[in-house]
Amino acid sequence: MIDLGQSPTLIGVLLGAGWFLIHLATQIAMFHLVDLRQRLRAIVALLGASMVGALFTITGLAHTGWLVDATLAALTSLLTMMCLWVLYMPFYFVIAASLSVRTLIMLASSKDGTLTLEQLETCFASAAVLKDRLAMMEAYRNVAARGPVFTVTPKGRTIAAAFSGLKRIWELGAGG
Amino acid sequence: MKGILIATAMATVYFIAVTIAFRTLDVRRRAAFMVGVWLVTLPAFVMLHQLTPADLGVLPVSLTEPLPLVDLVFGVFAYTAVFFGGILQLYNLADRGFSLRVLIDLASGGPMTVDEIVKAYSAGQGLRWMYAKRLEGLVDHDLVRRDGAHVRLTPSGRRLARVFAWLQRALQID
Repeated sequence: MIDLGQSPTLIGVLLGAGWFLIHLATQIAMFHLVDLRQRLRAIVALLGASMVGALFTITGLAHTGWLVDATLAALTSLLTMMCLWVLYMPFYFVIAASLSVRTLIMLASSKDGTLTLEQLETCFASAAVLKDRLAMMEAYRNVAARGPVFTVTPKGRTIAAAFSGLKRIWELGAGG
Repeated sequence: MKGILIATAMATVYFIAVTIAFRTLDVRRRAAFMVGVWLVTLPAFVMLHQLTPADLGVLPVSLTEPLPLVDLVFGVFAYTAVFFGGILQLYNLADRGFSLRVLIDLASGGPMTVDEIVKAYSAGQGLRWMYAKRLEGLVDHDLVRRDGAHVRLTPSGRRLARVFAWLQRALQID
């Protein structure tokens, strides 16, 4: 039987995982109750608040004298939350934005689970879906609209340059 | 902290190794290849952890975990997160990201209208090409079938669609 008090890493992991679950539950409740436009900002803010909560918990435990090493426990709890967050966010974006996921859901809601290719392309390979995506990119200040014309912002240009560099290093081709 | 430092070092070595592989080998299924290489590095991670001292010769006592097994498991968890949440996602975004591709097209092609972006998408391949790639992926994973001009959901596709629809409702995603 491991004495928890002897393992700052284990305490940090358990606290980090616990606070991450609180973050997740709060996020889900918030999205059900509040109509948020900037969801990513809300998720990041909640994560920050949860990290502060974890640090307060560890400080409290250190004051009881039960926690052998608060520094390592604090670092481990923050790292645990960050690791869980980087595992969770791609999953969130797949559910939220993946065209493949939306294709499956649309087919499932149709008669016999069948649609024509033309119907699917109208929904997912047309100007309409691009407009929605550009609206999201505008909200995150990666592009700016000037009338009917879209242009990339300095922030968007930096992101584009970084990933273009990665595509060159990995010889990925145009992709998309 | 030893596990974290080893995870950082392993992730760096992994990135370099995959970069060399992509530039020298003809890798077709890159994502599967990346996962395979990561799996091969796991025993190396464990060996490195076992063969090095608990403080790596440099860590202060306050950052040294007294239970080696706990440190090892946490290090493997961190390495897993860095790979699946970091390096693999970088690849997915760089190779398949829809928004990112639009951003790169705009950055290289200058200001465009929506119709111009549709045609210019991915160095002129167009949005239909993008969607055809996604459909091909769904067919490869036996989630849909092509039936002439129709696209039909398979039983596994239907099951997965139900799970995704439930997750969208749970996360309040339209």
